Amino acid sequence: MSSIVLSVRNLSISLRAACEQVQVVDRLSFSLNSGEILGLVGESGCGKSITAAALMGLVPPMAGKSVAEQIQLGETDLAQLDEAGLRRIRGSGISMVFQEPLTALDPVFTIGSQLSAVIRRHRGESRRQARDSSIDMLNRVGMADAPRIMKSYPHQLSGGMRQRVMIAMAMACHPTVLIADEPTSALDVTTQTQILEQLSELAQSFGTAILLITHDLGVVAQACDRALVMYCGRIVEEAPVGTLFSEPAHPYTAGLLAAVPRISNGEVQRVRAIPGRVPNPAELPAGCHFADRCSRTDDQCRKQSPELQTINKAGDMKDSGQESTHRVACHHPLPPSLATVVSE
Amino acid sequence: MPRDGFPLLSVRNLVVQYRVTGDRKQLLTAVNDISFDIHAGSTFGLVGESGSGKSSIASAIVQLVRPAAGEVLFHGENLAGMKASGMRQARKSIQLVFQDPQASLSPRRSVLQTLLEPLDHFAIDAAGQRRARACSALETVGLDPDLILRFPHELSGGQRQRVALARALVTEPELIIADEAVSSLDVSVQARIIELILDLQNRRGIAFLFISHDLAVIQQLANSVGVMYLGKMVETATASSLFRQAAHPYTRSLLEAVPVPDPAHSKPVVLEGELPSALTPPAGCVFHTRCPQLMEQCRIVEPADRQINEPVEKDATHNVRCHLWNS
Repeated sequence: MSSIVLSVRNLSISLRAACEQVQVVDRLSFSLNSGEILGLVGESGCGKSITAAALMGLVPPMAGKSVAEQIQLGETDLAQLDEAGLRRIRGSGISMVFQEPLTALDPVFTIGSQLSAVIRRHRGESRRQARDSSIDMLNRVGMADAPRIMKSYPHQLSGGMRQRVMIAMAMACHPTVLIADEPTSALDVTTQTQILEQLSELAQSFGTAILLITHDLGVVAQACDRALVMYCGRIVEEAPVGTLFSEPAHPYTAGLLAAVPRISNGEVQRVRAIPGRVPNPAELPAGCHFADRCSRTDDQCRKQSPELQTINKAGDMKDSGQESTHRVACHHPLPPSLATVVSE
Repeated sequence: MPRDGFPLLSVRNLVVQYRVTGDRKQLLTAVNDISFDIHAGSTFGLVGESGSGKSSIASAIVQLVRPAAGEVLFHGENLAGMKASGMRQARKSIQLVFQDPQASLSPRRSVLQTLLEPLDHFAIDAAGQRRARACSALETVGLDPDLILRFPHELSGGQRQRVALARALVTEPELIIADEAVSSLDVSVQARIIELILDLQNRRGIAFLFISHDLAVIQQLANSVGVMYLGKMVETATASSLFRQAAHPYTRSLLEAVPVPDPAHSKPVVLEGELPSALTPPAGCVFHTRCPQLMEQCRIVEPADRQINEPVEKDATHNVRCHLWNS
């Protein structure tokens, strides 16, 4: 039975715009179980990446403010920590992999010096030990030629190799939680598959829980156990992936599923776009934020903002037997049969 | 200019090479003896991993790089040897849309200025009427003409890509080369651009060379498909034939790797390794270092381009470069 390693309660984030505070994340609550890969899905601008930054305590005070009732990582409440405390947690408690490894890696240092710096800082190893550990980590992320990679500079590696280096660096201190922010979006599909496998293998062997941020539902289906769907700073649906894809309850989730191109070996299955576009966070409509783009909208949707509610105890997760709930924030969720019609 | 009897665009034995300076001077062959046709009003999808030479083909077609060998025939006329004035006319009919509209739109020009530039350059319409034409191009791509005085940073990613598409449309081209034009967009925005391209094709009969690494997107749009690997075209076929029965092991691996939005779907078989360097391409078949169905001769002999039989469709052509199909 798995236990909760990260528990976030009522995380709200506002960013400073021209002359006002704009709320971009609204009372986000979720928990992450040990050994689990949890997907955080949504379109650009829905607040996925800023949520990741807030969990790491990386929202710059000049740019905005993040407030949380609780961000419990093991024994520690990150919401109560100061900068020095957060520094100790970053890397060893929570670490992160970003979308574009070329900007995340320092161009003027070799891979070896960047990787060993992390290990020496957090594990207090000597130079020699750190070098050996670095080579070991590079081997573990599937880079056979580790000694040569150690001497290389980031620009000498391909995109896929750089992302492997980033994963090695993030996993070097065996963190409890890894946040991967669009780790494969800049990569080819073939490399993407390799990286996703590597990521879940490592997570399994280190017992690390992963929060995988992505806009790609294919990636969620391929890699995740459970997923949260975000829209305009709120979680609109939470479900085990099996349930999410077969019985999406929120019309937005169903719309996203219908927009994904699927390969077929017969008749082409045409994609269908969601009408309208994501509203500006400074001018969010009252009530349900998705109301303007939804076919099921009525007066209640425009007046009253729906809260996340459990719609069924989906105790039927096949592999783990783990109990997981299906929650949705919608006044008129799609019934299971209809959901399949919409998403097909 | 249009002449009957020729495909709209015909690429014949195209070779693109770059001089690489470094420790020693070397010649990198990015595109190696590629041929394909695009017919008026149809879409040719070009697929392959980064570094396979897809974008070099796009550049060579509009002569942004000079091909080392081969021909690019537009309405039967070779663009490769053309003088600057002739090329200028051809460019009016061939427009480009790139992956990242943030980089391909000038940050210091408003949408209006961006759309007027090609009109001014090609002296299309009287100066006073150009603004109206720019507005109508915006409407064609589903953007509110009120946005015409905005700058790129005031637009969302999807809106910017529409502006890039509108800029390509104002000259009323016959062919649009879209190089990873939807790859950086969210699925919902991507779906709208795909719908838009299909609609444009229906209404205006514009042909597309659609370059992407994503076969799922290619299937949405293409009539025929070419699969590239390390500068070589390893498989070409009509879309229906390719997706029903991919012949080359590389194409099958690519199809396998596309993430399927269904958790019940079996995990893809991972294609091992990475694309080899184009400076030192493998001998024999270019794909042999990663091929799951490697045979002895693949290391030594380069497979010839071979037409495979297609009993299902009459006109379907399906060509593959692979020893598996040599018997």
